[in-house]
Amino acid sequence: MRKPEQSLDPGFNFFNWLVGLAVLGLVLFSAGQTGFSPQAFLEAGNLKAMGRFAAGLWPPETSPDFLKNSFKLIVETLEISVIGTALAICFAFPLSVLATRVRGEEFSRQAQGWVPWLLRWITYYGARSVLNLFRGIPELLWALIFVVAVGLGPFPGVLALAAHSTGILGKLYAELFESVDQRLVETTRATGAGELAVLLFTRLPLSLPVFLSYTLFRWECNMRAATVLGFVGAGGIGTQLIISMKLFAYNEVMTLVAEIFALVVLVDLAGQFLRTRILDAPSPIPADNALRRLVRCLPKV
Amino acid sequence: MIGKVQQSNHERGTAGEVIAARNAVKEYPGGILALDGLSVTLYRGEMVGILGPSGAGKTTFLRLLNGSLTPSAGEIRVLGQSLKGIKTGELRRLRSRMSLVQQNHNIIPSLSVAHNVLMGKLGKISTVGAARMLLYLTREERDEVAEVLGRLEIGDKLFSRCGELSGGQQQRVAVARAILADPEIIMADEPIASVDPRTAEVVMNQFRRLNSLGKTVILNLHQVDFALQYCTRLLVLSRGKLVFDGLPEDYRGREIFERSFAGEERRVCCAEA
Ligand SMILES: Nc1ncnc2c1ncn2[C@@H]1O[C@H](COP(=O)(O)OP(=O)(O)OP(=O)(O)O)[C@@H](O)[C@H]1O
Ligand SMILES: [Mg+2]
Repeated sequence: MRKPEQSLDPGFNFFNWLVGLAVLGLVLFSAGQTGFSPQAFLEAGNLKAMGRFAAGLWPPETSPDFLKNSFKLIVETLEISVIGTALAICFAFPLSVLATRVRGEEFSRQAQGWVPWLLRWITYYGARSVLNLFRGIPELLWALIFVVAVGLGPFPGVLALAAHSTGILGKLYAELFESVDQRLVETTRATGAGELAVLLFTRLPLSLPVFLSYTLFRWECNMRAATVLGFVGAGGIGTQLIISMKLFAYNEVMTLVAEIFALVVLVDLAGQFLRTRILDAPSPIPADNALRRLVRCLPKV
Repeated sequence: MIGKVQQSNHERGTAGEVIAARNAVKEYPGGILALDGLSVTLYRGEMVGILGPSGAGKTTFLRLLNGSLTPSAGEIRVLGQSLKGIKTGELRRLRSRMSLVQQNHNIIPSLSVAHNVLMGKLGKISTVGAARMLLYLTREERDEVAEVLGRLEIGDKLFSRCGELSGGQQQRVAVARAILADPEIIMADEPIASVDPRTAEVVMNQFRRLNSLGKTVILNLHQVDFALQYCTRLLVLSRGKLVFDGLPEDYRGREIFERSFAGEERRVCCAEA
């Protein structure tokens, strides 16, 4: 038993100091290794280049042709992010179900025997590994791979976002499903429900607000990622951005950056709005609510 | 102490046996001995009340019967089937034949009352059927749920969000779920802990009605008067051991009862007085 006064005064902790010093050392070492030098901004050559770039930005390009084209690309960017996220949900959900660790004494090796126990762990680690692989490769790298596989255009961009987000959403979903109140899971199992029914009637309803919130947040991230997919030929506004950069058409760059900024802010606001709506919703089963509202709106026959 | 019921039950052997525990021991991780060699046989059609001070192991006993926990030693048989090494599918089928109303954490707050009650059917329907139920309820399902809720006097709450109900109402939703499942054994862990005495009577009468339909009812209770009034057999647990098993009439003979225990067990009676 620990005495209360002991927990009040921790005293000098050598280990904590050691960890603190180690972290500080790591930061300084990394700064040295990456050529961290603020004075680079002040070098004559760099200053002149920056000046040229800044001067070129103004006035932004506003020719109708360019605006029309860039607007089309902005819409394409949005579309890539939406479809990419939708695909990611479709793949992530089943994978996350496989990657959800079931707890409870009835699933122990002693209770079930070796074979079911081993099968469960193989499934669990298999699904986790697939998710890790998807998540471990960044979007841009996926885009490069898919450009090779299916050619240039927005399609490889969609696949790239879907692949990376599958890894992220799958892991988040699985952890959500695992973290619900274990006693409620036990209550549901007590009815004789199988694990899929437990998922539908307990894990999903209990985690739905956070589930939707994570998914929306992922869409916001995908939106931002979609703006640079064009750098490697995978569609979206990045396609034009890299061309304008290479042609030193900085006034075009200005217009594009402004458009991207506006879009990102808009999507962030939309995501924020929807997420607070979901988290405050009186019933976290929007499907149920929406259905009922829909039915009420339909003309009575 | 062996009451009259148990004596006659000894003669009955395994005929009509629905639950049998043989030297059941449950030690939780951390070395807490919640059940310490419990042996008891329960028969079809009995209405059993389990009494005992807090921490005696009543909840643990029900969770063992349900297969949610596995005994550290000893054997448990439910409806003629040993729970030792039981296959997942068999355990599910067995569970669909018995309901358990948990002490707390027994409703899904974000689902409607109707959905919570219909969860009682999950052991009997397919996953597809369960998914359909989540999106759409048939006329029959609504009527069925409304009927059970009406009997527990919460018929007006059919489509309320369960989390918005009072504690006592939530408890009745859990009872309604157990009733809807139409099981052979119905177990409830302190089902009247958070309702007023009159509502407690309503709930207990429902258990009595089920019992009269031939179902075995097992109730963990803290209210001795209710146990004496409604149950046909009483078990008293203390520190994981069975210290009384007999008719409510015999339990009433408290003086005899108290004299037959020394030390710790005497506190059982006081705690319940
Ligand atoms: N999950 C657990 N892990 C460790 N110990 C536990 C666990 N659940 C219960 N216990 C312990 O086991 C003992 C018996 O608990 P149990 O819940 O069965 O008591 P009870 O008779 O239902 O009490 P109450 O009347 O308060 O509900 C207690 O000492 C408790 O602390
Ligand atoms: Mg208890």
